[in-house]
Amino acid sequence: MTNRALSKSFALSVAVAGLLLFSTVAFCQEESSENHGSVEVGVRQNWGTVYGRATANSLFPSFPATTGGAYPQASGGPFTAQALGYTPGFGSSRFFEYRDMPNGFYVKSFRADLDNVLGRNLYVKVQGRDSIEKDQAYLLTVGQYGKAKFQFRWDDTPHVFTNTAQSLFIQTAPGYFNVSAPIQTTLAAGASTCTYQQIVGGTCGLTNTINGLFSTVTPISLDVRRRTATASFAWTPTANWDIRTSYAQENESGSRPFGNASGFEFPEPIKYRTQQFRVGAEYGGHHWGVQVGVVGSIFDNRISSLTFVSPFSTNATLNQGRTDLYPSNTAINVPIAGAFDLTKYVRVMGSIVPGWMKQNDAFLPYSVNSGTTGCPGGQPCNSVAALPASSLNGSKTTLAMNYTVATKPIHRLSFVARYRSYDYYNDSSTIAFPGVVVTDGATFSSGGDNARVSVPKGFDRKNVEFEGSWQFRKDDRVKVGYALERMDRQHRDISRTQEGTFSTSIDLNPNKMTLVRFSYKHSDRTPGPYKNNDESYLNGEGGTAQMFAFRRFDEAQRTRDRGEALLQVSPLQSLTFSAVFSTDQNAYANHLTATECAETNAEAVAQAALSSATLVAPFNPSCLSYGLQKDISSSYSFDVNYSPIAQLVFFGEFSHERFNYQQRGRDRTYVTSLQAAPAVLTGVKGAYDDPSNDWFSWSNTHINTYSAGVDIYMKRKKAVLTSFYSLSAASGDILTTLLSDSPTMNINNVTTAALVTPALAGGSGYYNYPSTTNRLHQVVTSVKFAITKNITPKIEYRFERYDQHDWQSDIMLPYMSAYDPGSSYSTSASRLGGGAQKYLYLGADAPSYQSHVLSGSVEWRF
Amino acid sequence: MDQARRMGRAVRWIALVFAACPLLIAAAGDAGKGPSPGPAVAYIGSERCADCHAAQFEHLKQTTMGKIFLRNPRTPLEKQGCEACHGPGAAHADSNGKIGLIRFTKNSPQPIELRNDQCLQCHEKGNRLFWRGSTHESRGVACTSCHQVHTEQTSVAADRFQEPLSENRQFVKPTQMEVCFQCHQMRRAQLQRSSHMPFREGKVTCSSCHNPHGTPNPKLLIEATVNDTCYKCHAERRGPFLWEHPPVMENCLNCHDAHGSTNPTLLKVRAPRLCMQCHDVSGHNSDPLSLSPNPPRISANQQISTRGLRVINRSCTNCHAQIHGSNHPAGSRYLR
Repeated sequence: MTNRALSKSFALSVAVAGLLLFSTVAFCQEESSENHGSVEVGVRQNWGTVYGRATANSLFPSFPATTGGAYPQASGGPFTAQALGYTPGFGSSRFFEYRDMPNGFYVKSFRADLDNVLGRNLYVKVQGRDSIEKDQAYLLTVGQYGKAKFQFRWDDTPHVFTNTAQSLFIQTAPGYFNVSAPIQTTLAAGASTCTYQQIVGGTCGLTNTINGLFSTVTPISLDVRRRTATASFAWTPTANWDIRTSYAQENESGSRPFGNASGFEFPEPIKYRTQQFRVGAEYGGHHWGVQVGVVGSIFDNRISSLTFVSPFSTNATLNQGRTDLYPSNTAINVPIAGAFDLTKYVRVMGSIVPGWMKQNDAFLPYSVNSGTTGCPGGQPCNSVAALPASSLNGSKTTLAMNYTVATKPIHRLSFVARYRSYDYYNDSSTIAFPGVVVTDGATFSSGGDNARVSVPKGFDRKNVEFEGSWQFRKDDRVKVGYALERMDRQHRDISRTQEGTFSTSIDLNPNKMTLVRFSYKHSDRTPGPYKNNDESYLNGEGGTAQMFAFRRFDEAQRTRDRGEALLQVSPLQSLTFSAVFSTDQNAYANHLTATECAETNAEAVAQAALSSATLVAPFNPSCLSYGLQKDISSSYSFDVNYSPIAQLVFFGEFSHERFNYQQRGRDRTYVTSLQAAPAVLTGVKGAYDDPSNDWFSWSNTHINTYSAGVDIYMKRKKAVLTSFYSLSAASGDILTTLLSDSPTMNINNVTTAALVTPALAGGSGYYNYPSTTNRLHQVVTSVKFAITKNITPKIEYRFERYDQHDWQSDIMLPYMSAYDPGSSYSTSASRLGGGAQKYLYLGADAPSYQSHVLSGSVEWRF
Repeated sequence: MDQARRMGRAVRWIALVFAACPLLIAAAGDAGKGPSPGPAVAYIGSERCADCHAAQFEHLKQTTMGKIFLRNPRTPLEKQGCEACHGPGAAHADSNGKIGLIRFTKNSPQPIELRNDQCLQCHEKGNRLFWRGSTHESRGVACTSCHQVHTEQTSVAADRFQEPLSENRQFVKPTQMEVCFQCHQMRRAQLQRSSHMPFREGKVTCSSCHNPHGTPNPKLLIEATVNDTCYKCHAERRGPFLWEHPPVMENCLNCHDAHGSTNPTLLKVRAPRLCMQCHDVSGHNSDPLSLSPNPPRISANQQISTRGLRVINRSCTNCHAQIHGSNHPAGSRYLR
């Protein structure tokens, strides 16, 4: 018998014994009522298939040398179908993403209520769902009506990320990944690069070797499981007082896919513990109340770093890498809130919530390798002695304040004024790092644009809102409002933005059966002057890290229009219909002001000079802004419920949503030997800040959701047949055009003739990305029939089918080869002996599935 | 700055007008009218109500409210039982029901505000402290739009959505989410998306993040900010970090759509385009299929190469894995 089966048997025994005891006690209560609880148990069988890894005629062919077979030729044409490596079983599929559904006997739910226990107005309630499964939940409540209540809650939540992961790494200790010595020796001896022809021809030794190794590696599922226990107690000593306390502890464990700049992917071990406590008191009377509390949260990451040994290097002093995982932290808030009626017509409400966040995990050294050299003061780079500080001593102080005055001077007229302030003050240390070790395989680089400064970033948001509402008929009202938001940010492009929002809405009930609502909002956000440019120099870096003229959407000039219309109609007692339309349209600045443009161009020249480069072409001749330009979404939906006779209820729903993001970007890359400089910039580290490399992109998503169902009641509701179908169908694409290639979009007036070859040959960004689609079908049919007053058997069938075509994940294999011969990064030492040719992924995917679940259960009410 | 000054001036004027309105109206003598007083005070007791309304009375007895009112009343109001909510019943009983009481059905003759006031007599504290002036109050939502006391729950197609275990079952729909979907229909559709939090699996629900009865915070959030809401389950992303990523620190919704998305990890837009809304590629090739010396083609304008290593899988976060913040001394670009 497996451990799981044993624990299941034990837990079931306990549950059944508990229920029997409960029901016995329930029948012996002083005042017996009809229904003391229920339990639903049954037998279940699920089966299904998993499919959808890239197949014939998909957008992507299989990558070479995985399962052999012909690789598509350069001349194009149809592809030879190739299975993409491992196809997982149904039992670990995405169907179980957040749930567990083992075959065999199961306890779907139980509930037991003991009321008026011992004649003292005491009650005990127990509920459970999906017992002895990975998504089980329980709730125990003990209390005295109106006086006190104690609750204990247990909740398990699984989360499956992938079931196709494979790795050559072995976790030898929590957070430490190694490879076996023979594998390391074999791979380190392999060629660093192969030509495309060698890979295609199957003569690339390294590719063949790695694929051979992975063919023996058992795929695994990566998932986490959250187990949360919460105890709470509420006490009402008098009608005026409420005391509430709670304590929750959540343990999260498992693993998830996690990448690394060295080109390796790992199953990151997760072992989190989060504790949360709340203590609060409320004192209040009629029309007034005061609440005071303390809320604390302690997060503890028990695996604070991830260390690995490169499989491509046997250099013991320089073949490891290390990533810092989320640091443990704490937070405390002290919420204080109150409300009172100043007069019969004026109510004043307010809250003040000071908070503190702390984090002081010890820093890791610059590098884990003893072979990393060049650190300050001659200190070894794998020692914290080389660092200017041993920890951040991170501290943030927040202060949230909200004040509201609501007044109703006459019966049909009301006004609300609100003031909100949220101050997020970061008083963490400012630490200047003289240089950086980009990855553990690199040397310490200092000076120039390698210095880093951890500037504490914070913000302060203030909102003022006014709103007036006039109820011009019984339940009809019109509302008008104006709101202003001021945002101050530290160490960002813009130190202050202001946004004004006008809003209006109208709610109409033209008759008893109809409700109509309209609402509209218009906002204008105005940024202050740009500082060229705190965010372009990431964390104190110099150099050309980021292009100037980007206008980041969270702080850029913006106009926003939002509208919504709702109609609810009940022409008959048995028929209700509702429809909703909404849209949200955001337009961001698409040009810089003349001043900003001049500053930006000057900055580009200065930066080019700093980088030993010469700026030949104008940086931004049309003074364009870059980044998100438009963000438009709209949706409409319909919903109908119809019950022609008491025994029959139909429902149907449809919704359509559209999302459209438009953005402008520019390809900029460092000069390499592979890519001959097209005389835009010269030098070793200049960027191609050439307007002919500008592109424009549209990200579109369309989603349709359909649902329809019926409930049929028979034999005076003793028998119920329920059936429904739903489909959520989404498709998305990302289209891109190089602006200089399109006469109509060539805003920069760069003629195609001038671009004999685009500045970046075959440059990135202007290819369309393949389309993505996903569809989720669900069909559920159940029949239940009450054979006695207390016993109701039920048969249920569930069908679920999820189809996914996602070019980013469908193709994933643990080894993708990489035919980039001679590319700039394929032999980079910073990648621990490997480059593009030596990336090792997990091959993480969560493919499509089709599932059937047939269950038979009996509900017993007692 | 001129515009900011103009906006500031506009706000001051609007504030002045809003402040003056109540005073002007009160001065005009309307203030004294206020809401109309309730019916004359003459109580008859719940047992007499049960004589005619036995079914409703029996159901009330099963509810927590009924058990407090009928068995363990703490205040004089609770002692009034049925009449605590419906008002004094003498006239109603004496007229054989011809004289109405306060009713809570959709077709009630009483205005919503009066009906809600009946509930607020007891339920003004706790989560309802900020009800007045809240979005739902000002849009005329009645307590009974979402809650019910007497009627058994209606049944729509069963088992569509599960919900966290709860004692609170007095909703007008089988689940709390269905209650909210009455008006927020698109949220129902969002739950069906490929990337979602465990809403439909019954691990979180609307009130895990929102308090529909009103809060001082935007969007009826329970916590002061969006991020504080997310940190309840994702405390690891709270920091403070040595290297903060500002938009992450300010608002999770800059990148994620909490109600559901068709992109991985609830992202609003698929990476790398999401990242490129704020950052240029800076030497990072972003083609899906890009450069290759001898590229095979799958269509006229699409080429294949694994240069897309930076685009496939989790794209930018293949390498910039600590995008929510890094505490590594060399992690300024969120690589470590």
